[in-house]
Amino acid sequence: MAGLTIVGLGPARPEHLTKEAVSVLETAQHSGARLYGLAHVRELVHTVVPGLLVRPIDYLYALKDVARAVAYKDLADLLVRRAFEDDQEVIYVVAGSPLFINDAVLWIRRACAEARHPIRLVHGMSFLDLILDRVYWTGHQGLQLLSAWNVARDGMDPDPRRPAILFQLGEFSSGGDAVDAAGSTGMLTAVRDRLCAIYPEDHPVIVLYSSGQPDYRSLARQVPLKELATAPVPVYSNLWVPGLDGPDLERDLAPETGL
Amino acid sequence: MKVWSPGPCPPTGVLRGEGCDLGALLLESHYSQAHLVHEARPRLQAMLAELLDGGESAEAATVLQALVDTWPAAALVDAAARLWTEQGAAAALSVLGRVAELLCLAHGWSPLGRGPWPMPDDDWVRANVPAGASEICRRTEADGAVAVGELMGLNVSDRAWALPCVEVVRGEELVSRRGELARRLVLAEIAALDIEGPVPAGPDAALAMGELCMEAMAQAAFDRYGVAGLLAPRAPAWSEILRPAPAGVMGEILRRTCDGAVLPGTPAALARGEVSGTGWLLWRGPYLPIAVQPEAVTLLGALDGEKDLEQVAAQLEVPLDAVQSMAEELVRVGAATA
Repeated sequence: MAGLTIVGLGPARPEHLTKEAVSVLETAQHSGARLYGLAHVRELVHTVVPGLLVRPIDYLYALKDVARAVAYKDLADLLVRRAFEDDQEVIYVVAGSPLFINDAVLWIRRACAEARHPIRLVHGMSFLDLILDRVYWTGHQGLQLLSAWNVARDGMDPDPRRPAILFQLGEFSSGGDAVDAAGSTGMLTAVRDRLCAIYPEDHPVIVLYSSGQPDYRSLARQVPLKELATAPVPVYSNLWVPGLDGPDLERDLAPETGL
Repeated sequence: MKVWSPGPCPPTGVLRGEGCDLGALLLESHYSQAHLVHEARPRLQAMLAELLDGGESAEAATVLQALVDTWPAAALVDAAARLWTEQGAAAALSVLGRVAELLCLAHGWSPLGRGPWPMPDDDWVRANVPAGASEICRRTEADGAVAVGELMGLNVSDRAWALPCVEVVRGEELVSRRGELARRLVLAEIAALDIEGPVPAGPDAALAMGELCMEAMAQAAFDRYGVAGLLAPRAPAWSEILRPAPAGVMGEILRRTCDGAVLPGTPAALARGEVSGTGWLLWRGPYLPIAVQPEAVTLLGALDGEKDLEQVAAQLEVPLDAVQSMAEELVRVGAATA
């Protein structure tokens, strides 16, 4: 049946998929639905339904002259058009939660709301659930969630009194292939310089990242802010910045938990 | 008697023409391990030497890559030809496509239209068109039927293959026709696009191109293999079907599990004009050739499954620890095993 479903697969391992997400994928195997997703999403889908065709949208990240924001809007238009003009059953499969840091999902939701197209949203566990296990977030002073890009390039400063997470710490380009970790040090330098204008140079920050396949262990390294740019990081790394007025607990690095 | 064209690609069994099918004959005679090892490889070796003597290093780089690819291609081609003939198997097409490129290089043949498939030379055509032939059947536009007809004085008759539709589109139309073309691809009214002329610069054209290529499931295969890609739209690229060799098992007595050769460099080095003796580990299997130090090839040649490493070191007059560490590396990359 024609329509548009957005499915969050969770941040990493197959065990993070909800039963609802698994059900959607298993049903898609027989329904003739057209699935769309990136490479790491396809791998995750295939652990549930081997061989299920997920059309690759990776090309959006390889277009050198197309800004990321333009690419996301175009993807949203494409998926809405496919579902509601071409009368296809469309499933857009995303990593993590569809509601976290996904511009294409935002555009889809808004376009469908305006056109009164119904969409189905299948929630997924967000990356936050995974990375917070290496810090002690009390919640007593809230939590700021900011794009590292916005902080480094757009002058969006965190409130230093409260804890902050800067996501996509290794994203060094607004278009083209940004997955290469080697390009991240420029971004780290820009983030460091921006934060050093707000925090003391020795403020303890924690880089949060994943070990990747197959275990996706939560890895972390704590450094003084001034040493943030000494080593590259994967694009989907995050930075924990404890608040200046927060409890000492929020400055500590938590040990790795068992799987 | 009817004769069928040598192209547009090797015919699968169900598409083989009755009578004399030049495409099928070419598949049987040239797409084989025996032909690659005993005909194509020596030709490529000689060609490589000539090109280097003439200082044509860019062309030599292409020939060197072709030469090392004859090892995995030869290992796979007989099964691929059988799978293509019997089942039209997509993975088989990737092997046959690379073999077609090697044949073009080794024999100096030109490709037929889109894709790598060769048009054999006049001598081959004369030797294979039977006496009494009166008609050459054309299967697609650029399949060599007209050239064979002219050479042999045969009438050309159309016996078109029933193929999925390909839409010919001008590059400048991609943006304005994006929605319509995407819809037709989604509804399987067309399988791929044949884009003529340059695609305009700019984000709109790049995004249109991205969507259309993504939705056209046969596009990549059509671009690589021409008409054959329409018959097997999931055919991967040659580079996707080779993998690293499995590691061996370390021991005191080792035997080699691949061939070794010292060649004039790597393709990348030759393309830069740098020629220097380089060792190559070459498997008779679906494994990626590896460039190594020439000394590794010398050691590989001494690993006969009888002498232990101490004896090998003595034979080569090399310190045992050097032999030991190089042997461990050969085992790690799957070139030797206990």
